[in-house]
Amino acid sequence: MKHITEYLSYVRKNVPFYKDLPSSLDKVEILYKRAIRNNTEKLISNDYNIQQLVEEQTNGTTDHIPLKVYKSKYERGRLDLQLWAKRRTFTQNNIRRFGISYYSNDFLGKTLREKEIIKHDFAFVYIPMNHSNDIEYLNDLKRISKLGIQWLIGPISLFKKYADVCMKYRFKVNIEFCECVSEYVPDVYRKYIRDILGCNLLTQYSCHEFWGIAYSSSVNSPSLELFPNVKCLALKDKRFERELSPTIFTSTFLKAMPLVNYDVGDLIVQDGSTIYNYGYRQSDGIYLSKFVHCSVIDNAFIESLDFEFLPLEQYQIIYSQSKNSVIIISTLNESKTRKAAQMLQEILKSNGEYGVSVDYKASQRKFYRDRLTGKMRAIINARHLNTHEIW
Amino acid sequence: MKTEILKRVCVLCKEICPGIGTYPIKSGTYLIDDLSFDSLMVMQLILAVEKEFGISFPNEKLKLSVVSRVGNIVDVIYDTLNK
Repeated sequence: MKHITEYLSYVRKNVPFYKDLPSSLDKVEILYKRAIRNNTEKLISNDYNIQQLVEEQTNGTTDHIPLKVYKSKYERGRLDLQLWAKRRTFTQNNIRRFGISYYSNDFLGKTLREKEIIKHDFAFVYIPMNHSNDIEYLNDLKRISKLGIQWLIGPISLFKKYADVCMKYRFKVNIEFCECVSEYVPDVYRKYIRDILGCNLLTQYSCHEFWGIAYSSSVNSPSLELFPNVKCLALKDKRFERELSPTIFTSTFLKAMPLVNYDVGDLIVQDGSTIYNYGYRQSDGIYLSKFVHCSVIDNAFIESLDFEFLPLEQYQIIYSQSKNSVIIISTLNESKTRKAAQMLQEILKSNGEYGVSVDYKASQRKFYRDRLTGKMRAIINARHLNTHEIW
Repeated sequence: MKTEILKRVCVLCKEICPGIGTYPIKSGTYLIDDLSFDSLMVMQLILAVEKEFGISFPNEKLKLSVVSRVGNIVDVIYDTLNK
C-alpha cells in the first residue's frame, strides 16, 4: 500500500493529466482508449521528455489506430529484464540458448537480419519465419537442432507449423520450451505442439505495454504477485469459462506515462476499489450470450478446414459488443477468409447461435507486424471501418 | 580483486557491444544510459558473466536497479565468488 501511495503522490505532482488526482482510487476516472489517445501529452510526466522515451504501440484491433504508450528506456529495460528473470524460474537447467522468431520482411527483421550471437556457450539466435515452403521450415528446425536451441520465442502459429513439419518429415527436435507470444493458446494447439515437439509450452500474454508481462505455465505453480502484498493464486475469466492459472506477473509502476485507472478492454481484476489490468484482451475471445470462445472456433477450424493458416496469414476474430452480433475475420488471403467465415457461420448455427452474423474482410496485403508482440495486424480499407471502438 | 573483476566485465561488455569501442567503462558506468545496451544485451552480459566466472547469477539480483550499473554487477560477482 505504501508503494501505491507513493506512486499516486508522484503522479499527482508530475503528470498534468492527474494534477487533481483524488486520494481515493475508486474516485479516479477510468481512462478508456479514446481518452488515452486524446491526452497522450498530458499523460507524460514532466520528469520526461517525450522525444527520449520509447514509443510502444498496442496491437490495435485490426481496423483501429494502435494506442501509443511511452516508457523510458529504463522502464522498458526493467520490464524486459523481469521477463528474463521469470524465464529463468521455469527451468533448473540454466537454459542458455534461445531462438527468437521474427518476420524477415518487417521492421524487426530488417534490423536484426540473421544475426547470431554465440559466445561463451550461450546463444540468441534470430530465426526468420515467413517461409514459402515446408523445406525452409525444416531447414530452420535443423539449424535449431544444430545450434542446440532449447527455448523458442514466437507466435503459436509458427510452433504449430514446426510441429506439422516435424510430423511430415519425421524430424525430431530437442526443444525444452516454446514460448508463445501474445496470444491465448487453445488447448488443442497446446496439446498438439507439446506432443509432437516434446516441449513445455509457455504463454506470454501481451500486457507489457502497460504493467508487465504475465506468464502461464503448466510446469510450475507460483503464486501471483500483482503488487507487494497483493497476491492471487488463480485467476479465472468466467466470461470464457477457462482458467488462467497458474500465472506469473511482472509488475512495475511506470512513471514516464502513468495510467492509474484504465480500461483498454483487457481483462480486469478488481481487488476492492483497486482495478488491475492484466492484459488479456477481449478481442482474443468472442463474447456471446453463450460464451463462445475463440478456442472453440480454433478447435473446430483445426479439424474442419482443408487448408492451413501460415504464420503470415494469421486470422483474427473480433466480436463487436455494441453491435452484439458481428464477427469479423481477417486474413491475408481472401479465399481462405471467405471459407473460414462460412465455416464459422456453420459452427455458430450448429451451436444455436442464429443471431450472430459473420462478416469478413480481406486485408488487401496491408498486413503489418506489431513490433512488440509479433502479431500480424491488418489495416482494413476505410470503407470497412466500424464507426465505434472494437476492443 | 574487484579491479580484476571489473577488467574482465569490461572485456565482456565490449564483446557484446563492439560499438563501445574505446569508451572508458568504469564501475559507475550505466549499461543502458551510457553504453546503449538493451535488455537482450544485458541478459547476454549476465550469461557471459556466469560463464566467465563460473557462477550462477542470483535471480533476485536480476533487476535493472542492480544490473544496470557495471559496478553493481562487479559487486554481485565478488559477493557470489566469496560466499
